[in-house]
Amino acid sequence: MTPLVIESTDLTPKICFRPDKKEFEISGESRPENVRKFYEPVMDWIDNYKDHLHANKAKGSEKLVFKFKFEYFNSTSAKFLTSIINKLDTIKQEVMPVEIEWYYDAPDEDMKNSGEEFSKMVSIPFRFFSVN
Amino acid sequence: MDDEFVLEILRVMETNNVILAFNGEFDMRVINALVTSVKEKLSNVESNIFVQKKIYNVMVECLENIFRHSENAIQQHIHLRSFAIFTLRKDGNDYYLVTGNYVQNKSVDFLKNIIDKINTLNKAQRWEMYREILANGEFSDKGGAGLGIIDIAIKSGSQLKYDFRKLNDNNTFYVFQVCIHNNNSHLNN
Repeated sequence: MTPLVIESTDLTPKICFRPDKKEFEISGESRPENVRKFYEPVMDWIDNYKDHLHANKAKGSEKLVFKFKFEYFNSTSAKFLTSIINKLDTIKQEVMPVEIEWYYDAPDEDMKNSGEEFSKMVSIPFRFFSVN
Repeated sequence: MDDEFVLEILRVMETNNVILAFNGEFDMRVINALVTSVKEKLSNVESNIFVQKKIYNVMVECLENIFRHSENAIQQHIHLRSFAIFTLRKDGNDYYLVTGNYVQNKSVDFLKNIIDKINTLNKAQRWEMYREILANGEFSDKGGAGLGIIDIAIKSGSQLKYDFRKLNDNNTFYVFQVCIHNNNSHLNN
């Protein structure tokens, strides 16, 4: 499975999905000019990865850990993040365990609360980490 | 010489502790310039990093809201379509962000209803509404469904204010104000 790596810009986060290294991370700021154009390849990659896991009969004993490390995301991005998290939930239900690690700056309760709201929408366990 | 005119503007801005005021065409380039400028200025006027971040977050959403609700507003007056005003000022410990832009008359009821509804909700109910819109709201690629406004309400933790000035049979000038309180304890859980 080809990794997906997109470097960050002032308006878009870094995407680093490297299955060979078991690294799945989104980090930075998200307020793309064209949010669909930015997130569609990310969502497509996750769909393909799910098919890849199915085809390779991934074992339920393994676990995928996705790390979300946002400084900021706008409300339009939130809608696409919901879709991404729902896709991860499908992997959890159909293929193998998935966990989300949600990182936020220590004083930024809004970012923590956003993660908590996402966690209420899906069956994936979330772990929260404050960063100083 | 327009020196009196310029000095008057300067006096008004200083008297009202205006951190930033912009009036003109809005596009992504302008929004990015304003956001960058405010980020730098806030580090000089506000020591609380959390409050700085709140202002930044709310400002981005306010400016993007101008886009969402200005779209197609003035079909017959193209030059007015993306015209808007934005101001950020400090009053005591509080920060006031105000936007003004043109919307279609048919958008007025949607905006009024959603802001009135949000203003009746406490913090937990606002988060519940946010989740509900995220899960079930109908979106265009620019957002919509009121998610931007509820996001502003949650992050500001305050009551939202608005004013609508009808211009003609098609268009209305929409003024939106949000306050960010420094103690952030104005809404009960």
